[in-house]
Amino acid sequence: MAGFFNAIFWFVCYVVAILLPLRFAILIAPVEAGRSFLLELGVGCGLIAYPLLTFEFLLVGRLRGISQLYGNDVLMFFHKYMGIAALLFVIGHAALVSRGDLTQLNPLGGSAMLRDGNWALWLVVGIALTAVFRKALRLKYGLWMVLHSLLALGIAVFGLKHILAVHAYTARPMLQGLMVGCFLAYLLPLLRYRVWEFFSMQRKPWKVVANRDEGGRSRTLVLEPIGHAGFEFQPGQFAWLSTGRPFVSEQHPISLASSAEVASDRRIEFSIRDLGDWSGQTVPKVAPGAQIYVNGPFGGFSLDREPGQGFVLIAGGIGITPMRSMLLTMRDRGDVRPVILFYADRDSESLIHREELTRLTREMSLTLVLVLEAPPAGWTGEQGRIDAALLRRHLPVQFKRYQYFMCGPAAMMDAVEEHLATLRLPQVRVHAERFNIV
Amino acid sequence: MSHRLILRLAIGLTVFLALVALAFAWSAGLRDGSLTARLETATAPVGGAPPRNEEPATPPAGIEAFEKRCARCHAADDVTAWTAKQSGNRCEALYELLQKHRKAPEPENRGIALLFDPGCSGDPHTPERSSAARPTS
Repeated sequence: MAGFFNAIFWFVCYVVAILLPLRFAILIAPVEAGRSFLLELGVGCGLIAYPLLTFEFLLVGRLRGISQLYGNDVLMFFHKYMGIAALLFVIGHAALVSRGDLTQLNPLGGSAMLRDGNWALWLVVGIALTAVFRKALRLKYGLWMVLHSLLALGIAVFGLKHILAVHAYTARPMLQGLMVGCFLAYLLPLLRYRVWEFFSMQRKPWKVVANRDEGGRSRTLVLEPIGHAGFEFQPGQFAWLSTGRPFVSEQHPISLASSAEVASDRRIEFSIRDLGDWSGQTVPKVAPGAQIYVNGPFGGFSLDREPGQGFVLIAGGIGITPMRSMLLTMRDRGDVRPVILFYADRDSESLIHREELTRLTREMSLTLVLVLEAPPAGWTGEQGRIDAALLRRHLPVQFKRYQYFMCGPAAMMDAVEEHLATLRLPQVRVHAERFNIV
Repeated sequence: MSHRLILRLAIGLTVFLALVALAFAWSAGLRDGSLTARLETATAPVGGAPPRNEEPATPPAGIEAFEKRCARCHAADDVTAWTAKQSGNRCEALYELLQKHRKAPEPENRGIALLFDPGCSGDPHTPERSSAARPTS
């Protein structure tokens, strides 16, 4: 309950911080008498857009407190939607202040103040388009991450230059200070993320103990800390993995697959499916003994955070990894609460950790429901996709008292969310972690 | 938490922020009106009599001077509140503040003082012309 109130409190702080520049602008008399309503509305949009844009990074900037409070899935979606909202406010600002005169939106012409504003405008458009259409544009994830970061930096810098050069509301020192504060709210976490965290990762390397082929185009990396104690985590959390040096190599968010009751060797495991790029080209080549870098743990997708009489775990494809971590942890803790695992994949060859999961049904109170889209001949289990009827067949009478965890591809998650809604489950009991979200 | 719930929250917040931007634009008109009204009150002849021995300061000159010299750091309402708090000769206090703040031409100080104390007409040291002791005729 404390977590819920904490989440509400920080959300209110976020909204108040976005509105602060506007509040101070309201305290100040208009700069010129007789300015039109539409012009003032445009200014209002601009004063909202800049804090919205700069606070976007706070949502996804690897801040553990925020990540654990809301969960990665919630933050990623909120980041995406508020990014679109910021785009609308920026367009509103440009359209109203320029009075619809498109010639004023040229980033190469006009005064320095206008040019900076136009650069920020077009960079916002660019960042939105490359995020929404990354796959259509065939941008590789690593390259897109770099591009996204550079565009964000450009927006923050050009936006601030534009704001400070406008001799109107933001000519007041107090408003200038607030806008510089917004810029710092972006810059400081960025420096922490890009410098401090990378430095910290480099100081605490891990050794690859094994690189197991799990079948289903998936591999499990077993890692051991070198010269440090590793880290504690909650089952279901994820970490950023880098197979090269952190400052020069791309990093990937991967769910921890091993038990959170870490053994004395402090080993941890990550299961990774070949989805192209890094996961298909680099991961299979990582040899035992190689040095690897880990930054974590992050996320709030964990049964440790959600007390319940029992748990329903719904996994699609490689979404089984956080579920494996939860199950192994429950077994190691001797947790007797009932768990129902729905594990869906295309065919039986794609299922991973199958023998281990079958063994767990004997070692703990686990019911395993395998769902195959294309089952082999003689398959007696569930087939097709997970729907409301399938869920009803396996859920116990008291299913509304259970906590629900889902992890898998976005399309499957959206569909399962709909099916769970038809069961009239309280939404606060449904927890999701999507991968490949961008 | 459901994906849909986050979407609803984001839409709700966006609509709320848009409404605040609209309120800001609307309130700008109100603030503009209140400043003009104060200016008109300040420049109206006190008790029907025209100001003595001087050219009357014009409203646009007062606003312009205030915008140029003061508005970067001070809200008009703050200055009004400060003026009202002064005991004794408010006009003199206001003039003293303006003169100490930055060296500026006398008409400029007069224009600004007029905005905030309608009793200030020309000579700031004439007590009977301050708002604290306004003549009746």
